[in-house]
Order: sequence, then structure tokens, then C-alpha cells
Amino acid sequence: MEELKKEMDTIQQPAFECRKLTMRYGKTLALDAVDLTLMPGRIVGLLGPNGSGKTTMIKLANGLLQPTSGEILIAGSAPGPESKSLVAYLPDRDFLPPYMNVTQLLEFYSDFFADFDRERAEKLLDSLGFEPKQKLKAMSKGTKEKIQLVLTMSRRAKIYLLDEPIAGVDPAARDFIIRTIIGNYAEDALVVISTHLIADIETVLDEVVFLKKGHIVLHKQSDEVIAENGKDIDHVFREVFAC
Amino acid sequence: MFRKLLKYDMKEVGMVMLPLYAAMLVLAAAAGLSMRFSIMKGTRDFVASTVPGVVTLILMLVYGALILGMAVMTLVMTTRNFRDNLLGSRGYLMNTLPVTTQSQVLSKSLNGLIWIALGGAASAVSGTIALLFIMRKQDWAEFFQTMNEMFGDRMSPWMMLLQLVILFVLGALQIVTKIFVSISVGNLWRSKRGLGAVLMFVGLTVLQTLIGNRLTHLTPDASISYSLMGNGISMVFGLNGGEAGLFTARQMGFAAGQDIVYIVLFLIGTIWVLRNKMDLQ
Repeated sequence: MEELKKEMDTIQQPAFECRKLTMRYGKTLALDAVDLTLMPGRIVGLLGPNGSGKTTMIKLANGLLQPTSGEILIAGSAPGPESKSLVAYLPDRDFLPPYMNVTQLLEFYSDFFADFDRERAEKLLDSLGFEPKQKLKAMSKGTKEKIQLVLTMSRRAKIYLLDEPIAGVDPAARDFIIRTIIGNYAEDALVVISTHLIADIETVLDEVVFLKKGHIVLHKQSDEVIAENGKDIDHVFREVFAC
Repeated sequence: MFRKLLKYDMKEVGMVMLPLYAAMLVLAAAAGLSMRFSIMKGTRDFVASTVPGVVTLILMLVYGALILGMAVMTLVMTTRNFRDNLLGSRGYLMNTLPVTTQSQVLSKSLNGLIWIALGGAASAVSGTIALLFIMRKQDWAEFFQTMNEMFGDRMSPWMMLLQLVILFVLGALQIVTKIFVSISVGNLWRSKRGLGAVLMFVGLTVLQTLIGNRLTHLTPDASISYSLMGNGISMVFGLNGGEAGLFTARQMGFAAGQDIVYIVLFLIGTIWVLRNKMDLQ
């Protein structure tokens, strides 16, 4: 009974919560008193043009930046070792040690992340035909991005924060990335995908958050947005963010 | 988790340093053998333009350059290990591991200390290897006799070694942690972060010198303090009170105490900046 109660509390607890979250870079206001609550078991599109504050919000959630004011909570806790064990983060850049090969990267993830499913990662890497002893620095940009995605999505995390996972890749790679995300996340997890390339991912989104100059201008279920506007999310995005 | 962090930090630096140590040992043996060969040929003046003499000279020069290069690389690699893993692009991985900031900083500091100690050990071993080839039995006997005359019963060479090791370890850790806090504070600048780190390092060094001078005015026991090189040189060349001798307990206390205080302050500063002011670009 106690366990069931605990589980119900966990289910109802927001996975991601911003309370009056504000971030300034000098005179530039990147996020302005943002309030946002995201529940587990959803795939959420964090959508906005470049400079709207998407990456800043994701960095704050990972403790890579400290907010100017307000707070950000991951499963009820401020970013720290506990929240980091729940979050699988894919940054918008190369972040793996270039001197490691594929096998060493698998060992590294197994060493540090208790939720890392090595078997799943090996299967995915096998399907892509990676040489286990090939060093990262000898790989192309596209190949490195695939490895980064496979390692991130092979964690059985509670929250996936994916920052621009489909930016700057060819259409075939884009399909692979979307397939990998959809085919590997845990169903009770929250998946946040930040992007400005809406058309490719809008069919997989449960919710959308439009971020404009540090403010949330829309946060709704995808179905609602489509029904209310009579057009797809990509077209709504273009109208909201028209220059 | 701390042990895992240290394992990966050591692997990263070891990839560069271990081949350097191996090269040092091989070159020391080659230089020693070459000099032995020159001596056997009766060309004790190996700078003379005989072929074995020139080869020996070149080997000795390369060996010396390698030791210098190894010392520089130790500092470069431990600094890069800290900067690239915590404040560079790899920080996007390392700072999102489920470990505390303390563990990260302590792992990098201990990693730096271990490689400085290993560098010192590799230099000592390679030098000994070269000497084993060069010196004959009677040379060793002469060497120990000279040492005995120099130090006599005033001090135990083992005690002197222990004092030197303590001062070396603390001095090295103090420099490593000073570099780390300087880089962390430099990282708070929006741009030109490298310049910020250099200015911080220079500022801290000036401050330490001022504090050292002030302490020396208060008590002469503080006069040997805070300089690793100074400590070693003054001890080995007998500048401690005009002749070779051990530092007193008070002198050791001042030197080690200052280092420990600086190490603790630099570590606290680094951890505080990384935890509360992290700004990964």
C-alpha cells in the first residue's frame, strides 16, 4: 500500500518545473520569469527560433548555468547529482571525449549511469555497423552525432532533454534520429525535444511549448493547437514567429 | 564514483605522459651507455669532437630537453584535464554525471598531484639508470664518502628526503589548485576567459608573496616558506642557516602550514565557483 502511494505521488509529480525562472546574460534577458510544468509520460516540443531561450532553459535544467532568479526543479529537486541520475541529456554540440573509442564510451556510460542499458546500446551500434575500436576523433560529424544519440537514448531515464537533435543533419539521418528517439524512450518518461525544425517532428509530439524572446507564448496539447487553428503546428509556428 | 572519476582522469593524462616516461628511461639508458663507451675509449672529455663524444652530448641534450618537456607537459595536461572536462565542450558530459562538484574538483586535483609525483619519480629513476651505466664501483664509493663529509652526523639523508618530499607534495598541490581556481574565476568573464585566468593567477601569486613577506617580518621561521623550489634549493645547497641541515619543526610547520591553508582556500574557491557560478558556453 505504502509503495503504491509512493508510486502515485511520483506519477503525479511534475517531471520538469520552472517557477519564475529568469536568466540574464549581462544586459540580455534570455528567460523572463518563465513558469512551466511538464508531466511524465509526454513528448514535448520546446519550439522557438534561434535565441528564444530553448538551450538556456535546458542548460539550467542540467545545472550547466545558474538562474539569475526563480527556480527550476527536476522531479521535485534542484539540479544536482540526484536530478542528474534521472536526466539523459543530449547537448547541441560534440561533447564526448575524442580520445575514446566506442567500447570505452560504453564502459564510461555503464560506470556512471546506473540506468544505462548497454545491451540496447550495443544492438543499436551494431545495426549502424560501428567498429568497436574506432576512436571518436577519427569519425565524421554525422557519425559522432549518431553515437551521442544512441548513448543518450540507451539510458532508461525518467527525463530526456534533447537539444536540437535534428539540426544540421541530412534527411536520412533525421529519420534515424527520430526513429531512435521514438523507439527507445521509456513510456513513463518525459521527453523534451528542443528544435525550430517543426515539420519533421510534429507528428510525434504530445505537447508543444512556443518560446519567444524568453517568454512562453503558447503551451498546449498538439491536438488542441491543430484543432483550434485548423492547420498543422509548423504553420502555426510560422505565423507566431513571423518576422 | 570518485574512484571512477579519478580512473578516467588518470587514463586521459596517462595517454600522453606514459610514453614520455618510457622515452626518458630509454634515453637515459642510451646516454649512460654512450658515455660509458666514451669513457672506456679514454675520451673522458666527451665534448671533444670524437664521434662517441658528440653522440653522447646529443643524447644528453635530448634527455635534458625531455625532462624539461615532461615537466611542462605535466602542468599542461593536468590543466587541460581540468579545463576541458569541466569548462570546455566535454563539460556537457562531465557536469551532467551524477557526481558532486567536490568529487570532480578533488579528482582533478589528486590526478594532478599523482602525475607530478610520477614525473618526479620517473626523472629520479631515469637519472639513476644513467648513473648506473656511467659510474663504476669506486665512483659510487667516492660519491657516498663526499656525501658523508658534506652532511656528516648533522642530519640523516632519509630525514632530509622526507622533508623534501613533504614540501614537494604540498607545493605541487598548491600550484595545481591555484591554477584550477584561476581558471574557474577566469571562466566568469563573458569573453577573454584565458586572460582572466592568467590575471587571477598573477594576482594570487602577488598576494601570496605579500603575505609571505609579512610573515617573514613577524618571524624568521617563515622565511623558507611557500616556495617549493626555494625550499628544495635552500636545503640541498645548505642555505638554511649557512650550512646544509634539516629544517626545524617550526620552519616545516610554517612552510607546510601555509601550503595547506592555500590548498584548502583554493579548493573551496574552485568548488564554490563551479557550483554557484557555472556558465558553460
